[in-house]
This record gives sequence, structure tokens and C-alpha cells, in this order.
Amino acid sequence: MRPEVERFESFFRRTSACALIALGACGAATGDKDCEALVAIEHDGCVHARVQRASTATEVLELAPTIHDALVRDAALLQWVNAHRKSLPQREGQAICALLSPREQSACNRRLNAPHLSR
Amino acid sequence: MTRVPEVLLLLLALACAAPVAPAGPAPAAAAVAAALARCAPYRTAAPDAYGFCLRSEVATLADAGAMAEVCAAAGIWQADCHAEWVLQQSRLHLLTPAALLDACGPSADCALQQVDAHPDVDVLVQIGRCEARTGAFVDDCVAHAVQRWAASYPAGPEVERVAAGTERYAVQVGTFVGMIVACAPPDAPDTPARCPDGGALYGEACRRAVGSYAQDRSRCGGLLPSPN
Repeated sequence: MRPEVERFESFFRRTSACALIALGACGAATGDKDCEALVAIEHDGCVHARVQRASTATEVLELAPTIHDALVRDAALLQWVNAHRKSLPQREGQAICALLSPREQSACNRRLNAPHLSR
Repeated sequence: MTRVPEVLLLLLALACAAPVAPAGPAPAAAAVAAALARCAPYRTAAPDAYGFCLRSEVATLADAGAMAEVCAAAGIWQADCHAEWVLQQSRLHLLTPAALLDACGPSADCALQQVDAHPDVDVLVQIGRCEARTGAFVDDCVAHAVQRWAASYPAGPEVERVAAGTERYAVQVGTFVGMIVACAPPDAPDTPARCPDGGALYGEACRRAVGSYAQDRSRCGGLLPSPN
């Protein structure tokens, strides 16, 4: 292979890798801005959707407090607990339930503790 | 002397003076419209929170039909919406247990709580209600029913009757009959002294439970009904 072609291929590979990394970072940043650029109920609805995509309790505990509307926050937390209660460690579940408004906390704890609901 | 014309005139005057009912939605329909309107801001921006909002709003409704109408719009929160309303209503003691159970609608968890809270005195009837109403939680409901029945330390003929009528739940019933055999106190002399004859699963479960409780009689306390 000629040296010019090798140099071009090497340059192309490095450029492609950088472009991919940049695109990934850009995508992540756009994802963050998706909710931050919104206000009021639209912002809260956006974060609610992100909470449902969260795979760990840690993510939920970080995201949920950024929901300003208590009803949307309660909906997001209870919906996530419903979806993950069978695999949710007790301590993490309790931490999530503690973020709910007082009237919803007993319903949340019951979801974690009632044997027929956690099977 | 007759006064018929005067009376008729008076009735006519009263009928004309009676106020005309104001046009507008019936109270239940108005309550449904108000609940839907209060949650409307969430409908497009946070659709799942909209359903959750309706679930919270049903507490304000007095009528089961209105509740069902609002809950039908609650999406993933529909079953929870029924359960929430029944929970609120059960604290008010205005509805019969049958009405509360009907109001549970699609919520099997709600139905389980209601069937458990108002057990029939005949455990076979109670098991029938579990099968008819508690959906995915039928095994839990039957277990609760049989445990409650076992805690009354039934006599031999009653144990035979129930064993014969519950082949489908042979393991559960056999286990609790084993508890009765192992744990019955001296003041319950009519309880069976050994595992009665029955199907293989039933007899095996009974004998296994007898062995288990004989090893650790402190577990017999679990048979006692829990305080209210």
C-alpha cells in the first residue's frame, strides 16, 4: 500500500473515532437539555419520562427531586416502584418511597412489603 | 257544600308557582367533568401523571358510577384508581361490603383486601369468592381463608368436609390441617388427632406440616388470629 493511502486511512480512522465520540457527547448533552429547556409542567413531564427509563434507584433518586410538581413527582416515583418492585432492594425502595408526599408513602411501602405484590 | 273548584284552582296555582329545575348536568356528571377538568393540564404534557391525577381526584366523588367513569380515563392507573376510591369509601362505612367489592373493578389487589376484610363464615364459600374475584391473587386469598379457618380449630367432620371440597388446593389445606393436628390446644379436643385420609398431595402436605411443627412448636403461634 502506498504511504499516502496509509496516511489517509489512518487519518480517516482517527477522524471517524473523534466524530463518533463528539456525536455521542452531543447526543447526551441534547438529552439533558431536552428537559432543562422546558418549563413548568412540560419540564416535569419530560423528567417523568426520564425517570421511567432509569434502570437504577440511584438515577431515580437524582432525577425525581428535579420534578417541581408534587403530583407528577409522586406519579413518576410510584410508577417506577411498580415496575421494579420485584427486584428492588428494601433499602433503596424505602429511600424512593421517602421522596413521595406523605399521603402516598404508605401505598408505596405497601407495594414493597406486601408478599403478594412483591412476587 | 263542595269546594272542588277552589281546590283545583289552588293546585293549579301551586303547580305554576313551582320552581323549574335548573337546566344543567346532574350532580354526578358535573363531578366527573370537574375531576377531568382539574387534571386536564397534565393530559398532554405528562400523560401518565394525568392518570395519576385522576386516581387522586376520585376521592372527591361520592358515586361509584362516576368513579368508574373517571377511572376509565386513568390509563395505567385505572386499577389503582378503583382501589383508591374503595379505600376512601371503606373508611366512611357508607357502602356494603358487596358494593365495595364490586367497586374494585379491575383491581385484584383491592378485591383481595375486600374479600379478606369480610370473610364468609363457610370457608368453602370464601374460597369460591376468592376464585371468582381475586384474579392473580387467588392463591393468597385461599391461603388467608384456610389459615383463618384452621385458627378456629375445626372438628374432624368439618376438616373432612373442607378437604373433600378443596382438591385444587390440596397442598395448602393439607398444610394447615397438619398445623391443626400438631398445634391444637387441649381445649379443642374434637380436632383431628392425625392427618386424615385423603389425596396423596393432601396427606403428604399434612404429614410434612405435622413433622415441621412437632420440631418447633413455637411456630404454632402463627395459627392464632392476629389482633385487629
